[in-house]
Amino acid sequence: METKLKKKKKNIFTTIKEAFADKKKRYLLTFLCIVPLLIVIGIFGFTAYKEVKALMDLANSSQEAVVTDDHRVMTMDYVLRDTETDYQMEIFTELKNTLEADTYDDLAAVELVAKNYVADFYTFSNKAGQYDIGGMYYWYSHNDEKSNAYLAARDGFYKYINYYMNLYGKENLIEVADVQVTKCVKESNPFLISEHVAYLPVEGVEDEWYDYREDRPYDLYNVTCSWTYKEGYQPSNVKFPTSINMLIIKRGKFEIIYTSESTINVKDVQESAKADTTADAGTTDTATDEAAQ
Amino acid sequence: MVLAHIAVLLLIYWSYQYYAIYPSIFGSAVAIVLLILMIIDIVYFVGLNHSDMVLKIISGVLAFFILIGGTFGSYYVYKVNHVVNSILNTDSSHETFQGVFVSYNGTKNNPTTIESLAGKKIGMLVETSNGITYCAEQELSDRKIDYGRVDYKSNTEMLTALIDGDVDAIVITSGYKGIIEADDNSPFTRYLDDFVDIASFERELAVNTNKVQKNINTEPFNILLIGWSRTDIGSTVGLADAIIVATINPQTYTVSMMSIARDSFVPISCYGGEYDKINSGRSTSRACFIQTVEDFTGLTMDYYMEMDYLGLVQVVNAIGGIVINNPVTFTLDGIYVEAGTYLADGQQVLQFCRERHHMPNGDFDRQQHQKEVIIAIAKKFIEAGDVSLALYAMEEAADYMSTDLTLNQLTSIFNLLLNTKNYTGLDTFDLVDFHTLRMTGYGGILYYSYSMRLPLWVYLIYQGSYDESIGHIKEVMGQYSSVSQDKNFEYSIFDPYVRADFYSLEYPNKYVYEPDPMPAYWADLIGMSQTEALAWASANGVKLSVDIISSSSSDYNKDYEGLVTAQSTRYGQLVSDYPSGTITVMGPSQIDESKQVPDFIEHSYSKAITWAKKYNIPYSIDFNTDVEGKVGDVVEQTPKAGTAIEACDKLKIVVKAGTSTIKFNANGMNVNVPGNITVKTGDSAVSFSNPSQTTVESDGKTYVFDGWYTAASGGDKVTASNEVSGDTTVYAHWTEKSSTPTQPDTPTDPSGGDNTGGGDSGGTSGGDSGGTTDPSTDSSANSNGGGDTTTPASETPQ
Repeated sequence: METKLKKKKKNIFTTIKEAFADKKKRYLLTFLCIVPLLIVIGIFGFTAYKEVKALMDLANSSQEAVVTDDHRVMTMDYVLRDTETDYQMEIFTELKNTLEADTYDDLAAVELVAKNYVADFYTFSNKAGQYDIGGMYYWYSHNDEKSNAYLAARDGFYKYINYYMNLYGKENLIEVADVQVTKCVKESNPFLISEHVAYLPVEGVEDEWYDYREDRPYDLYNVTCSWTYKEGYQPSNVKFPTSINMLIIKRGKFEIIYTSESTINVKDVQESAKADTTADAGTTDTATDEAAQ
Repeated sequence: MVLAHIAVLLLIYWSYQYYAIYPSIFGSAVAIVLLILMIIDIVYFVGLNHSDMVLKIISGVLAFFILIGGTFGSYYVYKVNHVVNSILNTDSSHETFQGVFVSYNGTKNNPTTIESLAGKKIGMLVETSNGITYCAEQELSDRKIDYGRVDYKSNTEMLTALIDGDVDAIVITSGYKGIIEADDNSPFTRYLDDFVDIASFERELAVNTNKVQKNINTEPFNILLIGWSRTDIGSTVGLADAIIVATINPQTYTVSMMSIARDSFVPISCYGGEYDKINSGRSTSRACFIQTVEDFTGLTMDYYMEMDYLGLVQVVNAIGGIVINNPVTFTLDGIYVEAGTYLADGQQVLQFCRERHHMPNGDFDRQQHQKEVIIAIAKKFIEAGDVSLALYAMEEAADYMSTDLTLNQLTSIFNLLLNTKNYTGLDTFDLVDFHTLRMTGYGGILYYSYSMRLPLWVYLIYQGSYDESIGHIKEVMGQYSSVSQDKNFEYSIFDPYVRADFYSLEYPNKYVYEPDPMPAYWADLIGMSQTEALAWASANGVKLSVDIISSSSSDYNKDYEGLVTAQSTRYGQLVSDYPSGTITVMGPSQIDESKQVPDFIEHSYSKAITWAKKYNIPYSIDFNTDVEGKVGDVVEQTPKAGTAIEACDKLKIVVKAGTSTIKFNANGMNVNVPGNITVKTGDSAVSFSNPSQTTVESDGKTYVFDGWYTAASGGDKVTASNEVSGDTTVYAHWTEKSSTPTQPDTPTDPSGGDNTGGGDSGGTSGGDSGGTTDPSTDSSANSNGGGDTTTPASETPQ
């Protein structure tokens, strides 16, 4: 009986199999597989390196800007933006050195706080947009006061900053060149601020809460600043302010509580700051607001 | 080994579109996986070259794990892609149109099949671009059906024409019934059961989109947010309940959200400019609705995002609920929503967005709540900073959401905030400034559609509100009409800044689109009392006749007593076209003769006369021998019993004429009664005489004659012949006289003192001696016998 030998059909798999059997071809195949992989890894790796570096700069999900040590006062919550002007860097360093010293003079510290606030708030040239309000670290922030100040600035002084940016270019906008403190006086009487402590239940009434507040005394400083801008700012037809009066308290850190173009009558401001003698009877909603938050 | 490579490559390929979300993580992950793969390859080839079985096995095992991981990863990413792609309608150049041919049962021989449309008149919407009408024409053309097309500018005009019989059938969006049911003020709700869906169709057409893609990271843009109720799952049409134009400026981090009331009176773009409520545009197509909003606001809607209300429930539940601040406790669609501030689930949030009737400020509060919910959801996503949460929520809502934003755009918005450098010390989300606006106006039945012959409830937008809203949006987009830089920044933490509202509720009465003054039209009288209906008729110069369904009728329904149940002229028709008409009123079960015409049928005609005279109503009597009934009885009356007295200009009665005999019955007493009286209808009345005795002793008691009555016991008292009809017997009624104790006889004073005398020992007696009394002529009778009798004109009440 004859047996027919079936002719082997050649295809890609048999070709590879035969190639593997050959040592030289084996090395060639290895080279052909590994090298492309290396190239792909190289491209992805380089891209990933750049992104990872950026990622490392982000602190947490609230996305506060990553701040290096020279942009932060270690003993108090003051931060310098990384787009700082030269002048801002200069006076912030002074502030940092003062506050990080073992002892410091309060008056000197208050002056530097006032200068840093003015230099940041009244400079547009290094801001990202209307949402990037300067000087917010220097405002009082017991509850919502800072966010209210932020909103007021956003609707007010910073309202047209993006309009100016688009029209003139950010770099041509106002930039504080120098700040002088023309007055810095510690008030003799401590300043009392009615501060919310807690919501307490109204005795005998279910689901009724009242806002328990206390008058807390703080050292008060009455400060006046004046400053100049870098020349040639835009819009040139707008007369931007060059002076401000402010009240600053020492509440752990130094915080601004009041600003005004005119001379400040501390007594009047004190009256508005005192606790209302009739305690606010809050409702459940208020307490629930807190709970929800 | 090969399969492991394939699994990994598939995973990279399918997940590459998410690169932009976390580029660093994505790049790192891919690099690591490929590195591992490379190591495995090297191990395998080394083992292969050196014929080392151990190395081959190690690499094989590692490759196996890579294969498993790659396979699961690929499956997961593939599933996510499916969800994302179902939401992202990046191919917004096409839209699916669903329509239906509809006829009306009230029309004779209404067509019920598509073939029976041949030769018929079919109503269709005039379209500015291909839509449902175009699709319908294609359907008919494909079937080679000839028809007569009648053009209409709006769905309501077309439905009215169908009901009125002007066309045999219409072509309309397939969800029209759901749209009618959802509209509280729809005049077509009562006709729903009579609309017949002949045949439905669905086609996908190219829609005209000339939109320029914007770089949403740097350029301000508008998104049209639509919250709508589709008529059925899978339907592409419905009513837009929530309409918000969101303007986002990525430079300033400002988001304005402007609500437009769904009943806003605007020209609908695909209706050829015919006015209607703005939300009706969505009942035609999304493209029509977007165009309508653009034309109305003058703003380009760069993108849209729409969500069926059911999708809201899914999203909220997926993110674990959101905190709402509800001012009023209410229940809607069986869902109880308590007042207060608390974490609410999806259903509660949905009803919170829909409820307006219980809210202190109605629709205004509803719009405000919708925006608060959107902000709360966005805040929860941003604060979580968790992409997987966002994807999970999207998966839950996939069937109910649609947008033409691309995935890259969505993720870049997300990234914009995540990568913001924040030098304020506030939370990053607090840097986003939300402005809520609202176009305010005045609502009511203010527009009369002459084509539909219907008045419409619409919301007219104040021109002042419109200008302020659009002006504000332009400012948010960076287009300032004027710039006024603040002098300085003066602020006190003890005097918090209060931002003024971006809108007002009070504007001069000037509207963006002002309809013509309303003409006089027929009100919807059904359900009104007869008096109210007559008052309306009087006030509007309509001559109204009243048709009473009497309580003896088989159609009578006591539940509608006194109410109008039908009107001859449809609600909305012009009074000038129909100056008179008839209402059908369900008669009263008990008639107040001082307010309504009594029922005189089968009663003596004298009763009718007495009533007419009492209330100064002119009357006429037709004595007719050719009618059926009892002689002397009223057999017909106009107006009918129950008609309001003020609608009775004249009482007309038809009386069965003839002669009748009246007999008298002593009713058990031994007295002589008057002899029989024979009277002819219409003759002067004959007064009834008393019996021979009016006081009678019987069984030791005394009885007094009380008068003649129509029955031995009870009945009506009658005194003359015209008070009874037909051959009648009248009965004497007797009243027992109460006996008073008699004084004992006082003995007579023999000396002649006072003699008070005693009375009778019982009762009294006396009276007539009997006999009949001649009938006397009633001189007050005013009938002349036969023919009509009318009162003098001076007696006729005006």
